[in-house]
Amino acid sequence: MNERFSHLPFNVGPGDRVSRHMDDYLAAYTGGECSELERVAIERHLEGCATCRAALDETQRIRALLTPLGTQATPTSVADAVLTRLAGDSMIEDLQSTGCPVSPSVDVSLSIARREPRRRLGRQPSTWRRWEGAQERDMTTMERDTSTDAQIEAQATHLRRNHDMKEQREGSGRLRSFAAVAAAIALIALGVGIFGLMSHRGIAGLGGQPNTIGTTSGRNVLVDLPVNSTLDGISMDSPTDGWAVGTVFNAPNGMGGVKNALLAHYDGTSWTTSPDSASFKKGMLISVSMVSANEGWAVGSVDGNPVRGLLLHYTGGHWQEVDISHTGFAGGGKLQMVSANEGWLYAPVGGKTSDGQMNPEHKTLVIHYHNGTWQLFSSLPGWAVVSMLSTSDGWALVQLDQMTTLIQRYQDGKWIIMGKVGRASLLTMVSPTEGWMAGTYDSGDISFAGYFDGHLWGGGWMDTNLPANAPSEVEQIAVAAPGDVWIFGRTGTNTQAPKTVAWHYSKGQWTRVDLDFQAFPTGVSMASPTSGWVTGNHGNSAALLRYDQGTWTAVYYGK
Amino acid sequence: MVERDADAHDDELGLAERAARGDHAAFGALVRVYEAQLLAYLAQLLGDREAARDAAQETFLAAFRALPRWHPPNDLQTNPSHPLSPWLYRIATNEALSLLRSGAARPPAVATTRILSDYTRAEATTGGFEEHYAARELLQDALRHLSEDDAACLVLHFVSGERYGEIATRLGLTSEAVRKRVSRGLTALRSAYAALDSETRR
Repeated sequence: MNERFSHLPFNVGPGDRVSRHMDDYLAAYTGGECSELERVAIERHLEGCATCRAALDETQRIRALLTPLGTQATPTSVADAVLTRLAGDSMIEDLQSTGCPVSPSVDVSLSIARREPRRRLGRQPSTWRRWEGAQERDMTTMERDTSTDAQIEAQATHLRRNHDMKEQREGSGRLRSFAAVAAAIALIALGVGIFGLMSHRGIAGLGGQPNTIGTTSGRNVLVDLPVNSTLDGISMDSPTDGWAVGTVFNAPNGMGGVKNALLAHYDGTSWTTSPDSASFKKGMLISVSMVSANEGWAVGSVDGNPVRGLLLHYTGGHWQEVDISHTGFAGGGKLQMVSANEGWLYAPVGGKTSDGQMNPEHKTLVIHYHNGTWQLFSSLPGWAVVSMLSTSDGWALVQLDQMTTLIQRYQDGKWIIMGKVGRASLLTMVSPTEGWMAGTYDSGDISFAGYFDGHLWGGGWMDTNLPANAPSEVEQIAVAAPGDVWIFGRTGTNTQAPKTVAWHYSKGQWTRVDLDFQAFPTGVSMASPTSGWVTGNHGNSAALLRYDQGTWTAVYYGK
Repeated sequence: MVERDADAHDDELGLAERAARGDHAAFGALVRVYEAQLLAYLAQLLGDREAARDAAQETFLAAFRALPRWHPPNDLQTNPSHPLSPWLYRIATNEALSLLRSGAARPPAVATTRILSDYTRAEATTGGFEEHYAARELLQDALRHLSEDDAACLVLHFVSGERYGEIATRLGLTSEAVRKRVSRGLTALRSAYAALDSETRR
């Protein structure tokens, strides 16, 4: 790239006193800035020099690429804003606080580097866990849903069309976890029935009694969970403490009968059912998020007509229901707590209308917890997988149709469509500079995993070459540490006996880990890079898989 | 385009003097002279309206603070009607480059790879999503390796489409200096282009 035009067989006039660079000629020639003498000489040279013709071609392509950027939308005026800020500042204080005797004509960078923190930079959190300490702003100006009507309408149209396809797929048993969970939640939320949820669980055994001891195996872990129960979510706050949630089906006549929430606690040696479980009659829990051994939240729904939402708070050693119906929450969803004072709940509303049609009002609510209060923060049309980083930054995957997911980013109080990707169903943002998504693309159902690198300019999503070239699907994702990621999925999904597998991303590459786990993964939580758990359901019962010191071992299959 | 009003020279120096003594109204008049061109320039450099707004505000505030120590260029012949122009462009470029380098400017995500490269962007007005972001990434990569004057010349020539002579007036440089800086800009662009190209083909 740095070759000089030294092989040029000509002198180009007075300018050749200057040692001209090849790129100087290329720029001047393509920009029409050459002298006539130069132009003629260059053209004569190009006729016989393939190297320079290729470089010229490349330069023209670069110009063609950059020219459209000249039409970048331009803001109208900043004069008022500048004057307002000037008026707000005391100029003397300002100069004292910057404290720098700048020499503007020599080094402006000094004055800029030393002045007060930038507004925009100042509120960028350094890590996900720490964001609560960052300055927050705009809580009052947040718009709940600023996608344009046209966008929503377009998405709703796709969703309505998509709905029919989804039904067919459910019928053919090719339901994927994302669709399964989302569809089930939506059905429950509308009181259409629990059959949607049951469809992937099968029928419970008869005559099960609660609180019998499940089978346990190996590694000094005792598991005492009710029979006829399922586990659908897990959250470890440390390697020796955490909670898994699900549903206990008490009815002697199968799953359609009486049920209650299942809250299971791990204390470092055993999983036991919390007595609080029985308090939540007809409850079903599907997601839990602990911030410490003493603080956490769980979410699900309560059977009834209509079905209603169920949000539980763990504090002071007990689980208690918290009513957040004012947010529009109607059941289901996924929790992502950041701290005891901060967290998020992403919950669907509106599934189907009473005549079984897809409801165009179907939305995913983004509900924010801050200092003791849950408030509706924003919403997205249709099925969405969301991961918020702060009140000013977040990402979502909105399912457009069976083959397409819109990637959206929350910025400046609104959701912006950033692009689209195959069918992405998993998303987790670790920090403003690291995020992961996974899903499938092509009709061949090949899984992929995408990595968000915030150090790229403005941040970019890249493919990470998940070694999943056979038909496969992804079900769960968890980040054990920055750059240390687990995805759980299944391979051989076109056959009668799909296998549950894990893919582990570490030191910049994926390794496939074959598991001896005869269950469909429903939840995963990594307490550390060396410790984690997966919940699963096999047939109609719960299962647990443990990661300890580099080995995954199935420790429980319920009855 | 740089306007050449007969009286603007006196006006601008006069306004600058008053602004340097703390006259907000005079400074407001200067802001109105420059905001349109600087906003367009910053938007092209940063690829984001809001980032451009922020950078422009910071530029003017920094200029206001530094004005008491600003001296008119010795050679007013370069751009007699707008003596502040080179200085303001330098502050603005510096502001934008540090925003870009800190990763805090927030242009839309770029995607360069196999699966994620089939993006289309609903709002994309020119080219496709892919081309638009390839162009953004190319520009960003090139700017990363350039000094502020080189960066300004690159953007004004390759993105804004200005002639060497116009850029020289704007930045208070000679045309020969602009030519040299544009050439350095192309070197950086070609090397970024080669890197992107090989990445895309991988």
